[in-house]
Amino acid sequence: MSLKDKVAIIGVGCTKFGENFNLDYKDMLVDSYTEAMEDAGIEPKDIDAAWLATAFPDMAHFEGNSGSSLAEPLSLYGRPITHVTNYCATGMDAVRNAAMAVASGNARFAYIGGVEKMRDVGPRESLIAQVVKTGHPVVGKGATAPGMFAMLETRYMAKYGVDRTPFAEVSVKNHANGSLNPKAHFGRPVTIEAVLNAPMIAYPLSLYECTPVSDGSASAIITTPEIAKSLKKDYILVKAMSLSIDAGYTPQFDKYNEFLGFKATQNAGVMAYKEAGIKNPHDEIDFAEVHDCFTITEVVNYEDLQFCRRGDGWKFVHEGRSSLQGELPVNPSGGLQSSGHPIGATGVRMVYELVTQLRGKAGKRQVKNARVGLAHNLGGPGSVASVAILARPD
Amino acid sequence: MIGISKYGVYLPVKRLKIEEMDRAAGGPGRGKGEKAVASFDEDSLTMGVNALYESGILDEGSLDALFFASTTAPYLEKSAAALIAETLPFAPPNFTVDFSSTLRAASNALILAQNFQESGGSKIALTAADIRLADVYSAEERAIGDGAAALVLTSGADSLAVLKYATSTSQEILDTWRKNTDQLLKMTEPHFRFKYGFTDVVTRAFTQFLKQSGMGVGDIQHVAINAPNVKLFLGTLKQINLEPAPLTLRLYQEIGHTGVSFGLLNFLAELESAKVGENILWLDYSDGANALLFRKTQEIEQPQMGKAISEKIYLNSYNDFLRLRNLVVSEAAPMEPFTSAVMNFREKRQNYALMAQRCKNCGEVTYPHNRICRKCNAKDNFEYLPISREGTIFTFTKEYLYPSPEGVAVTASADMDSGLRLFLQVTDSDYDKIEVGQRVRRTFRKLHDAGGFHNYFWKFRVIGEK
Repeated sequence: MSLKDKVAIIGVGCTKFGENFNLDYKDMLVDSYTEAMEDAGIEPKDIDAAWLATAFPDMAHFEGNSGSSLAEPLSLYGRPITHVTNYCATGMDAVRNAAMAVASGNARFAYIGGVEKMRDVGPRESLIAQVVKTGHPVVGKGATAPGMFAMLETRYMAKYGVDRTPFAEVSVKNHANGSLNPKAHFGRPVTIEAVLNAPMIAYPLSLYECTPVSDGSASAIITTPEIAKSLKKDYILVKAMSLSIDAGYTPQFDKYNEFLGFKATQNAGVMAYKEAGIKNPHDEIDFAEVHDCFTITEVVNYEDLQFCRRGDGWKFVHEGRSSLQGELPVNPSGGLQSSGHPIGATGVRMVYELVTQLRGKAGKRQVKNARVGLAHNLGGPGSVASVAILARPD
Repeated sequence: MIGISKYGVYLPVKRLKIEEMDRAAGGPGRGKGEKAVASFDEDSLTMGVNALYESGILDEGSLDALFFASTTAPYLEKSAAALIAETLPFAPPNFTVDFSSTLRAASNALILAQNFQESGGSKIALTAADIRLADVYSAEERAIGDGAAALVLTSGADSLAVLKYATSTSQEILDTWRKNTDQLLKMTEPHFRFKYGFTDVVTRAFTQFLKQSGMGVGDIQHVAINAPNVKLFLGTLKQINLEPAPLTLRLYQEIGHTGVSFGLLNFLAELESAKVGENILWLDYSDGANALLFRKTQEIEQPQMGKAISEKIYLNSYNDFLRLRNLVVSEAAPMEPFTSAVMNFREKRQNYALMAQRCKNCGEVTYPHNRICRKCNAKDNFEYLPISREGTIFTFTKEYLYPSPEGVAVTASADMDSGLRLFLQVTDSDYDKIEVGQRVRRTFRKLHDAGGFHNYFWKFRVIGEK
């Protein structure tokens, strides 16, 4: 069943992303929830069901491992609340599940809260500790998220004969956009020299080419278009929401893996374009928030999402086509590079950004003539991707 | 009569210069030569496996026994030989034995292999390895090194060399020792231990050998001895007017005394240098001495010793050596990986023998193992085959955040010659020069010590350009 035109987003909220040492997991959820509720103009009793997006509950001792982690801080008891986790695609998958509930008539108002608390421990003690301490004892041991994506950049450079420059340009572009976003973790621009000369994290990715480790929360409230119209809300329509899983935990053992892109993104894109009725993504999508956990990821995302041809991704950024003034602005919010990546919150933050842009409320980072936006969330690394296409109702 | 049908030499690639050791101790940089240093991810068991792999044992298809000799086996209780047997791509032999406690353990094992063969067991693998430590900055530390060697022993027909005669003499003495609670070598003063521990007993063993075999000094063209140092080695040889082969001398000068494997390495160096028909006497001392007389019966098509000695990567400093041997104190909280003895047991074929699975329905070859074929969805319909030793790098990265004693953890996905893609960490390579398209070979290593036991797996070494 297609979700097209069956779901409307009526409220969004987002905390500042960053090292929120003075806020705990519950505090951030309360803050983004409050902003979304005020935006939607509904009461807590109106919420029929909720979805909690937290990718790795163990990073915040155990919070987020059940729907009760949402019920307790928000005092939303007596209704179904589902905890969703799907690696870095967690946030968007939670929105997708909530959308299905609304589209099917199972819920009138659904709430999605994405939240991740990563900085109650040192930066290495969250994700790096996770790959060291969990996973198979020996098979695949030694891989980290930056490393797995870095392997694509090594292959991309060897195959297409480019150097690190276009990837560094992704970081420069997104940090520049992020400096216009008051909620971004890193609000300062960076120069290309700084990016290229920053300490190596996983060759060939440097520190400034990796999303920072961040805390944050983002929320969304959805309902049917009919209800949204009757409430006279400034609502945004869902045109498509997709999810595709195309690799297990071991894409590095797959001889068919070219290490030049991700099937999950390609397939999620195809599914979403079909659902939305989009035939030419480059022409029909006005702007996009794509998963730029690392600079290489954004470059292959352009190709995987059909914004450009295979092998031309590096040119797409190098020639300025994806800049805020370009023909298809990508990551006007500053993306994960600048916003940071509290994992479960990211997909929901992308929805927040799309809605804000489509409403014309994005201030200094406003994309001109924003009518159709795409959000892409990728996890795995590379095994699961989700695409959402949102548009103004007019 | 027992004969050597195959042999393998495994020397760690890292080297530490003796002059660097002298400088670290506050000296002016005196001292010639260098020693071989095992990497942080090696132990005697992994080196024993790698020596076996160098021998060509993968082509054998079966074994009747596997003997492992070491004074530094990674477990005091738990057989290393049983584990080593599981790294081979065929059913493990019924008889696995661990030899230890004396530097002549490898020749002890050989003598007993002969007895075992006479009672019916026809094919025996023997692998010997040691990584020993002496006090930091000591003289003894400069004379010892790390290394391994292996033999495949068969009935004598079509051998490279046959064992003609063996004698043994036992002697109780405290010359060098390590208690089960000691990490470092202990020893008495040199004049006593060299005279009684080595020279006298070796002379006695040699004399006894001549008497019992009826051979004369003139019948022996080569002598290999695991002497404590090069001076004693050359002095002993001089008494019977023999010179060592250049490769043998290089073992002393560039590798160091590699414990249990040293006598065997000396023997193999002399064997490679000998002519067909010549006799090689192997004198293996410690707690007495063994004398083994081999005759070379075939040319060696592919010698290994020169390449193994010459292939090297220098450590930058003595400091690096201390880090590799885990002698640097740190109170940083370690991150311990999840592990499970049950998983180790269940996954031996996948993890130790590194077998791939081939779907009998569609022929697709994959690793790691799944029950449902990814290509045709056939369930539980696989056969198992070994993954080739070598492959070509498809892509790689160098991780600076993943904890590693080297400060960087390099990983690579390589297309293996046998036709699948394998992802492993990379070790013992020039990380600054790593490139897509380089050739790699898999090497058995220890990944970590989580769970209170050793967790072994495979890594890649870069072996050359495409």
